[in-house]
Amino acid sequence: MTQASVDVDTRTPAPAETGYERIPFTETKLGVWVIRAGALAVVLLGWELYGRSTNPALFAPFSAVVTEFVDMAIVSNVLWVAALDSARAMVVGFGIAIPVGIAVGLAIGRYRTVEYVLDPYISFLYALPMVVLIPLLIIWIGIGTPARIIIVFLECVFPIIINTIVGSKTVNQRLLDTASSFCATERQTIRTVVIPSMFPYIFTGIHVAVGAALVGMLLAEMLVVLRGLGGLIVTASNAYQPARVMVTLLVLVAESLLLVGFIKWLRRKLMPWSAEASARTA
Amino acid sequence: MTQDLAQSEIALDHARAKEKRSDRRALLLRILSIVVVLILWEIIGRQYELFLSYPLAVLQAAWEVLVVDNELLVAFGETLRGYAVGYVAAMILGTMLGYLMSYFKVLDVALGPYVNALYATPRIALIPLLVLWVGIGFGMRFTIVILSAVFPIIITVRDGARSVADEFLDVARIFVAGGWRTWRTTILPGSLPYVFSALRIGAQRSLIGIIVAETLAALTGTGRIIQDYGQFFQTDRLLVPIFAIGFFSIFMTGALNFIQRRVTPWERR
Repeated sequence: MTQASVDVDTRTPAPAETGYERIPFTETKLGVWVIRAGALAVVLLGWELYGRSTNPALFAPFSAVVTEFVDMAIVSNVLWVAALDSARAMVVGFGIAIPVGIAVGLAIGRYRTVEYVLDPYISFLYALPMVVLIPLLIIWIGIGTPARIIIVFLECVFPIIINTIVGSKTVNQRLLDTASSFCATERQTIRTVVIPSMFPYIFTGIHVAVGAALVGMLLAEMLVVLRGLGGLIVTASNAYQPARVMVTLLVLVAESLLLVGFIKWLRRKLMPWSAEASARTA
Repeated sequence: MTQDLAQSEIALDHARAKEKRSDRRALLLRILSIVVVLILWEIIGRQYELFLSYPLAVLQAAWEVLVVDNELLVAFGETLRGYAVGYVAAMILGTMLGYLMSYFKVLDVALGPYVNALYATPRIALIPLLVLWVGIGFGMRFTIVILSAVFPIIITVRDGARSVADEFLDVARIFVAGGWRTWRTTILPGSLPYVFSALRIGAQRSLIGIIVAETLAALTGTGRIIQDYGQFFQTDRLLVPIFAIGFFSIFMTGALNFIQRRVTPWERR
């Protein structure tokens, strides 16, 4: 159901051993790479040709982006300084959101009263695009680093809360019964049964929260402080330097993919048994 | 690689869709909680009017900006126009590409990496560049809504189309259904829950996108109004569009849930 790679199709049955059915070339490993390389070539060529023919103040060809990258990343280190600056606020906000999200989610998932009392606010805030809160946050705490951290925090805490709630509500009843037959206290039950079986869901929440954290980081940098990668994007576009913007965007793409990849790797390492947990919740 | 992300979005989405309980105690506690918070807010807010404002002031401000000055409705209308057109376009484009990518392997192999990468990257980073390309009018709203909504829709629909049970597809094959017939009778109904998940996620993402664009690119519209009220420390007025946006987001999810129940009566949650 959640096959990892695109070249496996669960719908077509496995090719018969008789040799009548051969795998079409486009579905072999080699074929996949040929198609991918072809697509990449088309994309890069189109990018380059379009970039050369259009206004250089608005769009940069691929070659210009490469030279700009060398300039920003190797000759000077603007790019890394900005990326590190961004990452710092994001990591802090994200790092606070994980324990808070898990704690709130656990409280809501385990205790009905807490759920009923908090649920209207959680639902509202989860539905609310956090960007509308930024002017209010500026009134409350100004435009320093705390504002950045809080914006990241607000962006990523709700996915974690919601997933933790789902996780703590779907604990196997038999395991809970076993715990109560052994006279486990509430604390023991949470520690030995609830938390381990919630783990996959928490990871799913963190997975979604990674994307949200990046959004929060950019929002703060583009709307509040004009620093880091977001600040780089805004100042470079205002100065009509599309190549600079594109380099920053590509770094952002790489960062997103790396972070998501890291979370998935961590999940496989920590919970090899739960590869399909996210699918089961759906 | 991003199937996982799409899956978790769906999980989240279902968790939210399931939030429905008609317990009397639940209702009572919820109302009580809201009443207590409102009263506390009223009392504390009066002390710190600049920071918190208070419910009665917000109500009065709502009356002012909605009825007397009418500025919020105008701004909201402007936002909504770009949102609606962009969202419908993203819906059509996203579901079509999603189904096509699930059917034609070549397309998936060729486009998959780009769709995944763009899906994982925050599209709001593109806004400054889009200002240069499409300006700051309707075109900007339209573009950012499509960019925000289309990738989650593509991925979720593609995965949904792939998740249709083999038994059903075997039946279609036994009856020698062609591609189009199989899609219409088997794959489409089988993947509808995913499609609705996709549309809910897309609706929320595009709302974020359009508000950020309006705030960042100094457009008119709701994002701009929020920014203005914030800059002049009009906290009571500021809270009106904030609540409006929140309720609009909840309304979109609710409306899509309602349509989904109508369209897929066999799915009992």
